[in-house]
Amino acid sequence: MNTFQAAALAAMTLTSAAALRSAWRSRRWADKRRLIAAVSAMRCDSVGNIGISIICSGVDCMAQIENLASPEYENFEVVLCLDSDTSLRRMRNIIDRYALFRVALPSRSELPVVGVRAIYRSRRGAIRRMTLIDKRFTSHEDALDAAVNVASFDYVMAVGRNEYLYPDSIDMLAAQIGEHEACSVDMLECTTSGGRLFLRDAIVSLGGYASLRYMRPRRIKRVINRIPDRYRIAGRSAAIRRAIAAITAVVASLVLLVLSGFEPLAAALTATVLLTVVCRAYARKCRELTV
Amino acid sequence: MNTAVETYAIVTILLALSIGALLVDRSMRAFRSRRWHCVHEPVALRIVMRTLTSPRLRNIAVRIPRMPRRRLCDTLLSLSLTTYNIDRRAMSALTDAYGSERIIGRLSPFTTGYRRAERLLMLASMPTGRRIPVHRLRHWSAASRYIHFYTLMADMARTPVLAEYLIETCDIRLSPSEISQITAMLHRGSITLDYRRLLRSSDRNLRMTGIAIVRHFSIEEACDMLHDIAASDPDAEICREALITLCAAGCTIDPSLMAEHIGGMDAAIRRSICRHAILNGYPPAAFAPLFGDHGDDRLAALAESNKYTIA
Repeated sequence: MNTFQAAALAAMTLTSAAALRSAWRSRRWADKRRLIAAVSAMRCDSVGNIGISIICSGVDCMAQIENLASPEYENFEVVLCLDSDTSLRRMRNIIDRYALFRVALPSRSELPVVGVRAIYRSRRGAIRRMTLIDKRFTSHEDALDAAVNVASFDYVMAVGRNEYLYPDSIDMLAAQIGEHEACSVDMLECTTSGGRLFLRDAIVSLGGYASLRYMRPRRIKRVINRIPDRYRIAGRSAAIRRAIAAITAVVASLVLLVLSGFEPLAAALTATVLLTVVCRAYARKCRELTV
Repeated sequence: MNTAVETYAIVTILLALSIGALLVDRSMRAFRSRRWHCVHEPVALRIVMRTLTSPRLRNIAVRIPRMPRRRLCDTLLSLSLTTYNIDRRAMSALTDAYGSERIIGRLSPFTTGYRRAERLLMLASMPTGRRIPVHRLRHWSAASRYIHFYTLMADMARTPVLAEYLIETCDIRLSPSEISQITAMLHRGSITLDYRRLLRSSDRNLRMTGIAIVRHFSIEEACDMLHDIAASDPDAEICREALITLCAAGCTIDPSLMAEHIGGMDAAIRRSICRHAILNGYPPAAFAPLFGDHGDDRLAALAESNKYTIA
């Protein structure tokens, strides 16, 4: 047996298996998402006593803020951290829009932060889920740590600029956390969107987001989630680039097949490329928000 | 070697074609789903609501022309899940009239995983006048927790009088998510449970369900029972839920009675309890006996940041 052929066949088999596995898992997670969505629709209160705080740094786009404040989950809040030196007008718009009032600065905090000038919270009976921190900007991680200090609920999740939540994202996250015992899951990581939902005590024990800047969180209980919880508003260019890359790969393999005189190995390579492209497209289709 | 490579190539191409067919089918389903929601669903909902609200039409099976039964089934399911105190006899007449019972009861052996669980959820949520054969509900041996739980829900919907017995004899330790679904069933009127019996029970699932019912319906009369549970139950999770429910109800709490019992809990759980108490207006100092270490006065910062500032 030709060693090169055997090695090539083994590599192609592994590639095909990985592509099929990805497609299969995406389909399973799409089914799970539909099931959780049906279950979430019938609830009118929170899952157990699970509360989630969304923390943001540098987010001042009103459309994004309204999207973040729109979930109807009961135990939920949004904590924004902005610098009045650079975003004074936006801050005033947010304070007027959500009728925030200034509260006392805490004398102690769980995570060390500097430069916090003021904290504003929304009134009860109005939108009781908005908190705004005025902090001198040093880094995004420090801003997130300041937000963790004033977050009210047991779980926190950071959301970046230009990231929008799906309508049922918070319910999905709460439902998945609710499958485990209280405070037993330290981190729920979404591998498709990159979002991480931390138990508040876990992020504090790790030293905050500032400590996570250069290291992966270890020695914590991690649960994987493949249901996307957020999306970015991107132009059609990304979809066009993906389509061009897929077509280029398929065409290149076909050209190679023809030039090689329809060699079996070239045919196997073409089949592998075709299967990989189709599986990736199927997995992406499954991850789309289908009703 | 060439034979192996050729075989691999043929098999891979066949797999690619089948995945491609699934991709096309999924795209078409998304398109049909959008068309259903825009065109047919409003018509179906109007007909359903007219049938439910008009006594004269109640016994008439209004034929909905050219509507896919599966989609109609989904619409009726959404209506069942999100409506309280709906007339179950009228809903079951609708479900049977449009043949949805055939779709619900058709649990083929090839339907696995979350799809099977979804069908069982349909069985549990949609009232039907026709009895579903018992053998279709035998899924207790399934490895998936979802199938196990939704079989329990379907059994409870089929025999509501046995709901408490079914929860007690359930093999799985019900999670907060599952308990909230049982509470939602109770709210919809599918089952009836007596919270007093549940709180007095020694079974963990029943107690957790009872506490969830007290919290969901804000039953203040149960405060004394919850206080006793928080002070004496050996299960830390039950104590936590009882305490948080007491805080949510604004009941009087005597932390000194439970200091020794709660002092042995995990620090994260104790901080979570204190956080819930502060959010419900209890002063942090009242919970000082619960914390053995002094580091938890950090939580006082949360209370401070919720106070007005006088400028």
